[in-house]
Amino acid sequence: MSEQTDTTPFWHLDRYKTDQPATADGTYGPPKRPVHLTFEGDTLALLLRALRDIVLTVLTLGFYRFWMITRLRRFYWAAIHIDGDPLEYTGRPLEKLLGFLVALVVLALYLGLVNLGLVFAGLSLATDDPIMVQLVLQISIISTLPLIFYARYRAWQYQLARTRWRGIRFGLEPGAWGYTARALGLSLLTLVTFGLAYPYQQFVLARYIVNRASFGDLRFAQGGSWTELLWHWLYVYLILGLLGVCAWGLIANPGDPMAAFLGVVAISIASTAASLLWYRYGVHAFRILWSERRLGETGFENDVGVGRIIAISVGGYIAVGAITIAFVVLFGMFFAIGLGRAVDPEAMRAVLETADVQTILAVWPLLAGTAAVYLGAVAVAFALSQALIYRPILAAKVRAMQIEDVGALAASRQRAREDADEAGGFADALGLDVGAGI
Amino acid sequence: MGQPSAAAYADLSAEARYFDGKTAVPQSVRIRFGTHSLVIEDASGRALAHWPLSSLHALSDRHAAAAQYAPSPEDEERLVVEDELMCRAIDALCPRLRRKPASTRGVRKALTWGVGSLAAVALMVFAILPSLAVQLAAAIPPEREARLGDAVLGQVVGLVSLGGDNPPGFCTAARGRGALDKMVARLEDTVELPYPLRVSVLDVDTVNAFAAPGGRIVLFRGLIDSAASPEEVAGVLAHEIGHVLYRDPTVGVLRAAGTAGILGLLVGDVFGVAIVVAASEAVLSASYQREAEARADETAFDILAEAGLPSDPFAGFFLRLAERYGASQGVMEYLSSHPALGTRAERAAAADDNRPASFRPVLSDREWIALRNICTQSAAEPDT
Repeated sequence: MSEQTDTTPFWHLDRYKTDQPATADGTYGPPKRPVHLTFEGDTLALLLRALRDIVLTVLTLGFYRFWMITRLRRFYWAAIHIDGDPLEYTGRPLEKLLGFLVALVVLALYLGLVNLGLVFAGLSLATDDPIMVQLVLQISIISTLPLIFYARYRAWQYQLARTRWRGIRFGLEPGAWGYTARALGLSLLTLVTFGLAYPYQQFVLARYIVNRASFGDLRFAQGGSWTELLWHWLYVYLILGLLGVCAWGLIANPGDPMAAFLGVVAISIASTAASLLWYRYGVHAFRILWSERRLGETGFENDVGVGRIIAISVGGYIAVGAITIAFVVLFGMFFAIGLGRAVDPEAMRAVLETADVQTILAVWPLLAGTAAVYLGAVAVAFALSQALIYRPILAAKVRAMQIEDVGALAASRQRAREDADEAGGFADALGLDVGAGI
Repeated sequence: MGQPSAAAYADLSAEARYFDGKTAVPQSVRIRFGTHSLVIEDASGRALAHWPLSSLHALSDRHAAAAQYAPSPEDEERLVVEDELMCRAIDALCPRLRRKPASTRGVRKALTWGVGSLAAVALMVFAILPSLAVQLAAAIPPEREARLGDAVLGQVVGLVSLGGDNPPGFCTAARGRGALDKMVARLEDTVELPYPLRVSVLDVDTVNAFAAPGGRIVLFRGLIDSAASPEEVAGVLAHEIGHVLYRDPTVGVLRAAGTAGILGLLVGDVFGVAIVVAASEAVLSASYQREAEARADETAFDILAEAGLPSDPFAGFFLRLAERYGASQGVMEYLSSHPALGTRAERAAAADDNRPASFRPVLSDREWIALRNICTQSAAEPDT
């Protein structure tokens, strides 16, 4: 058995100690061997891959995204090493395309008929309340909510069915409708409690998924309780309350310049604090949920540092923003110089005066140049955020992950292949699926 | 370019980890090359497997820290190799190492489904939803529809006032109101409408008019100002009555609810492409509207003829507008929600063949002046 990831030196007695009970024939099993996961993905390779893929995706009006997602996932999966062996992503772009087409037909039928029906019902039955009438007109947003939960579960199911480690498949039992029902009920609960029940919602939904997941024939299990999350959530909750009070104070005292000034200052401080605390909560939730998970006979431990993740994100967003702006300025100037000759100044003046469609079309090189710079900036920002934000955050989270007894995972037996037919197509169609990650 | 022979690397061997595809138990193995295969041996030198070099498949990218291999793309056995020299030798010897498993069946299936699903979506957007919207619009109780019209009117007033500080008022001068009511009554008597008309004038400079659900019609002051005769205003009013007759505004609300989001699904969440979605939604709604506009024009000619009024002032009004704002042509004719003004004027003139030699004017001179001064008084709410 490979011992290379064991940090204890071979002359140290601890290495030969066993904490397992003696078996019937008087021998001892292998010692528990905790290992840290490692992350080996090269930033430059990812940046080049993401840049090439997003450019192709934009040029093909989004059609290439099935290939892009597959290639990015292959990169991220292969970068995660458990006890020296990489994860493997076996999903295929064509099955994603097919799944998307299936989802498209279902969604077009569903959204078309349900939205039309809901608006008709709303118009025929609603009360005289003008707010209700407005709500009915905006109903299409609500009608996609159950689909979003359904799609999220199916996307997990697909991703796990297409993930292997040491040749053994992961999997997630069917249960998308149960998940959808629980998610809708719990969302309602969160709404009714003004957000206080959010950690409970998050915990119950995570447990629903984790308890149905498995690696080969070993099952995952979610332990712990939602109250651990609640403590971290309370900070966010309190600061959001404070934000509400500030906003109310601002609205209640119109025309008072002092109140307006103080209100704006308080609101900007509170909203910055709220977003940082929200982020902090997300990291803690990840850490706590993973530390309470088990797979077969072994447990997990995660000690990812909140400060580190926040530092990576803030630095990453600043870097991505700065480089993207530099790109826009450079290429904008390049286009402006090139197009300065192509566009007739008379036509330009006409646009500024009348701004009607015909005069705007007369300066089409300007429009084309603007579109090129805009799409270029979108592509650059996407590739940079993969390389400078998502990759380092994933790396930090993965490296902080520890498996208490990696030897116990050897007990896993292969599971049967699942088709996971629509291949995350619903999630893709609903726009839930582009950020590749874990 | 010839493949180097495996015999060239006969002396090369390396440590690796082997997984049999049935369990997750790692086995430390030594790998070396046979004549046409990769030989995997356990610690005692017993061969666990021979993998043919011709079908050997790499699962990881070229420069991955730990390279992972399978005997073929379909097999479940795995080999993890960290020895760089060995990886390079495997790269050199195996022809199909990074070739993706070809599957024409998958491509054909994707094509079939692609065409099928696009056809299904097109059927939904262009046939099922519009006809359902027409059916359902007729089933909404008139008083509910009137309520919806009020909501839409509120939205439009909000949109118009975005530029200025105060929302525009509705014009209420009594004598002007009387003139307007007289004009409406003469046109309204000629058709069977689902609900009574409620016509108001909005105190805005723009030359425009629109119909909202529930028989509500709004004329903008700019339109009355730029009309040369009351018959021109009557023509526009008849056109809007045409919309009311077919419940076009209500059908529009229902249809928009049905198609909302469907087009967004097609393109997916690539942010740069959101513009394409917006553009195609605009083209789609314009194509529905052009039909409705043409039908409302036809209805307007019928209404005017029935009321004993000529349609050439209606035509002349379009021509004058076309002169002032420039006739839109070409690509923009397709995009414009209204048929090109010029074409419209021609049609209006053509409809006027059976023009009465003389007609009873829709308003007296005195009433026409009153209508033009209707905005000397205004209120925040429409008076009908």
